[in-house]
Amino acid sequence: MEHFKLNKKAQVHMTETIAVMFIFFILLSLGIIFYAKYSQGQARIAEYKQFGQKAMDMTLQAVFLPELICTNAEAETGSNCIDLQKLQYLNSVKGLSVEEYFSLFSYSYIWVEQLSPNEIEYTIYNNTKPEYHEVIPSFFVVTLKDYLGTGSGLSYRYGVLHVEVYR
Amino acid sequence: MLSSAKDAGGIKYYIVGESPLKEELKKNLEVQTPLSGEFWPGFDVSFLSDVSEAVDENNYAVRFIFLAGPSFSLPVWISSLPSEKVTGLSIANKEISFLSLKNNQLTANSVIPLPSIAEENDPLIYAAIFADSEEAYLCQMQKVFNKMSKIILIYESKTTALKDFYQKKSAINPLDNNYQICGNLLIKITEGLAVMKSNANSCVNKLSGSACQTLLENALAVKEDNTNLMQQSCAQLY
Repeated sequence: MEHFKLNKKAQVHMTETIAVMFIFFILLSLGIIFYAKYSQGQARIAEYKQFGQKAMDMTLQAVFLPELICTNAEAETGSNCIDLQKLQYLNSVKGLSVEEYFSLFSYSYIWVEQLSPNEIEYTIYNNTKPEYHEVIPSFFVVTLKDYLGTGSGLSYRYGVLHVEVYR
Repeated sequence: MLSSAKDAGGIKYYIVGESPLKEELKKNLEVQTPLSGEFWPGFDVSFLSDVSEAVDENNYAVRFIFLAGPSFSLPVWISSLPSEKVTGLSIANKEISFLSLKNNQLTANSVIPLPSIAEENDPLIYAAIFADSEEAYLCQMQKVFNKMSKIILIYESKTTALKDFYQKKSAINPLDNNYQICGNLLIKITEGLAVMKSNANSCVNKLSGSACQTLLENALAVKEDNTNLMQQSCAQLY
């Protein structure tokens, strides 16, 4: 009889221990799940920030691309100004070579939309990603310096430089 | 918290010998660059008169840059470093040689003529100083000249457009001599760019060719013609 009582008490203890351990593991699992979710969110934010920074860098590189920027012999280069004749050539060859400029522009589409006097689009670099997760578009208003305008030759147009960076 | 490249024993550059290039390197490599800061302290460079002055600073790798011909007697402590961590470069008479350590001596692999593409601070010298190996340098040079020839195409196209523009204007206004002058200058530039493109293309395949040695000359001729365009109040190429 005594032996039976002790055995029952041990069984109750055992059940209690199992229940406590079960609750402990449930809490632990919940903690791990919450932490994993939080880390995932943080990683996504960091990734997005990094991608945003990369997109901004690319945009600035496109705005100040030495191959296209307006120059005036040894004088300081004009800001936000693109040489129209060089731009027209690049457009005629479907933009800069992806092979040569991939390290600079990676997966992106860069083009100039001339708004005045008439609307024309000029491609600078075209390497869009077929299956992308995200695209960050940005634009800059630019002046297009045209050496072959009417009259004496030099005239200015204006347009928008679009940069779409793909991930 | 983060140790600098110097503390961590990064690549140490010993620039050995006397040459006019020494002052230029001193000016450009010893100063803090815009990239210098907490994470990168700048280049770890020492200027020496003789290679025996080099002292062991427990660096990860060392590179000797000889400005007046290579020296074969290296300090004794060099033998404690793995051979692949000791490299050298000899720059003399518009030629460079990448040196590698064999039997505790730096030996030249081959002599590469140095194409001249700038009046001062020739970037190709710096490219050679920081290139990992001769193969990496030659590969990068191929890319450089390939890109140069592509960029010349942009300028060629602009020159042609400007030349056609002035020739048309000249035909309409035969009495205005200025259009003809501009057109003629642009014809000269077109020819100069064609030669430059052809030379740059030759350099893609062969750095040792004479074409690479005339690139600076070609560029200076185009620069002069561009100045003439400016003086004649014509549209400039750049």
